[in-house]
Amino acid sequence: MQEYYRLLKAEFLKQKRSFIWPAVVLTPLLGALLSFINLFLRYDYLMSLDYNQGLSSWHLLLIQHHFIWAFLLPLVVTIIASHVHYLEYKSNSWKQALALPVSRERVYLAKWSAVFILSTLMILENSICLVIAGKVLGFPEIVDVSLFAAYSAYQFLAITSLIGLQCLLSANLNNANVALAIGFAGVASSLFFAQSEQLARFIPYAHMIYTLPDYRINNAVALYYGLTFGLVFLGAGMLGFQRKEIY
Amino acid sequence: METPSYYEHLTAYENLEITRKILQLPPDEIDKALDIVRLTQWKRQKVKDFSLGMKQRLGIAQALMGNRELLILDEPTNGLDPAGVKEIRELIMSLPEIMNATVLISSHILSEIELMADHVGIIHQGELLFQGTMAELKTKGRDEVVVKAHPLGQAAEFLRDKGYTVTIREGKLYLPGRNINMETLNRELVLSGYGVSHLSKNLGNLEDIFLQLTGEVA
Repeated sequence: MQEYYRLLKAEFLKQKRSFIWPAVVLTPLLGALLSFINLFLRYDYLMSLDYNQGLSSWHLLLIQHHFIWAFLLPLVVTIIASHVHYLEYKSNSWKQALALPVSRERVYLAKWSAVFILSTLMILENSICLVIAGKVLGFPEIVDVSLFAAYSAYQFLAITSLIGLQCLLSANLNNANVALAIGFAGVASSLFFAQSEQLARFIPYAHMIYTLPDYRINNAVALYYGLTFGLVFLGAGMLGFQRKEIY
Repeated sequence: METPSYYEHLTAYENLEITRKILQLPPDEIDKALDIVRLTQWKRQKVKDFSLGMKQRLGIAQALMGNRELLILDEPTNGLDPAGVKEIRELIMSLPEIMNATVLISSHILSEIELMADHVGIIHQGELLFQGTMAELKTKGRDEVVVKAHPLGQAAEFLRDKGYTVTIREGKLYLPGRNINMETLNRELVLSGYGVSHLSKNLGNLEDIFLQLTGEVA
């Protein structure tokens, strides 16, 4: 366990001065800002729609925000997962990293964890920014904490499968840009996959679409399939990485 | 070493900090390693601004951390300019004394090995053909005496008559054999009226010996 923590610390040291930190901080801010502008301009109109009848302002904010965030978050997570591995290819550092007396599984797990922690920070920051946006907009209801808690929890689980898949691809494909391209294509087509709930269960890129806490959306897709695929990909990634040839 | 590993967006110190954290070493290990490879002055500079020689030295510093007893360096002078080669060579040669460590270098640049190593191993197609001191290896070379005499053709004939085996190459006479007395040879030529402008013993360099041992030369 000690070794894992040391490797995780080393992962964060490697990210010093990289574009990852600004991306992690600014992406949730940007997402919340766009939703703020949207509701600032269209709150009354949106509340008047039949589809939104009976919804609280906070629920409306999440629905509107989800259209952006369900794509923005997976895109940035894909970039982070790719970058964490690309750094090793770019600097020819796999050899150095694996020549040290450390286990390969833990090296892989540390990278996976770094991506997960950064994703978690983005999800939490985004929720906080949305609450602030709602407060500034002057929503009449008190903050719906359970709604935000559910939304965040579903995202943690849904993003697990995406991180698992992107880390698996980035670590095992010698060109991390290929993993990035696959990720972009997957996220771009996620909405199409999400049209079919049956299909979406098996497409990690589509799990994020099912994270909005709403009675019209089956959150079980994010909850169960996100976590299951996340763990399967993590295991497969660790196994594949053990056999990875480093020159 | 052949292609040094480093994170170029980080400083030299930060690169070593990663290794230090993983190996759980005390913080002063970084300064010690940087001091040995003479990078202390540039420790706060990003590695992307380093020359290849400096990157090689940083690679050696990474390898040094943790008081290693054995260092294995693969092609440590690869791709360096002459000044860089000299710098890395001097650094490597100083390591056994400073670190009390054995340094094992693998390289195809035999002239460099000749300058750096005191013990040599020659591996060819997975087989260890020789292992021993550099002096022992030198004895494996084809000894020959090189003579530049005038007139060349007649001097060659004269020596053949005396019982020497002589070949003429590039305007010089080559006399193979380990037991040729150079003083006698010189005297015989001079007293017979030949002008001798060059007389030396060619022990063969490491490259020749390597080719001879591996059977890659006729």
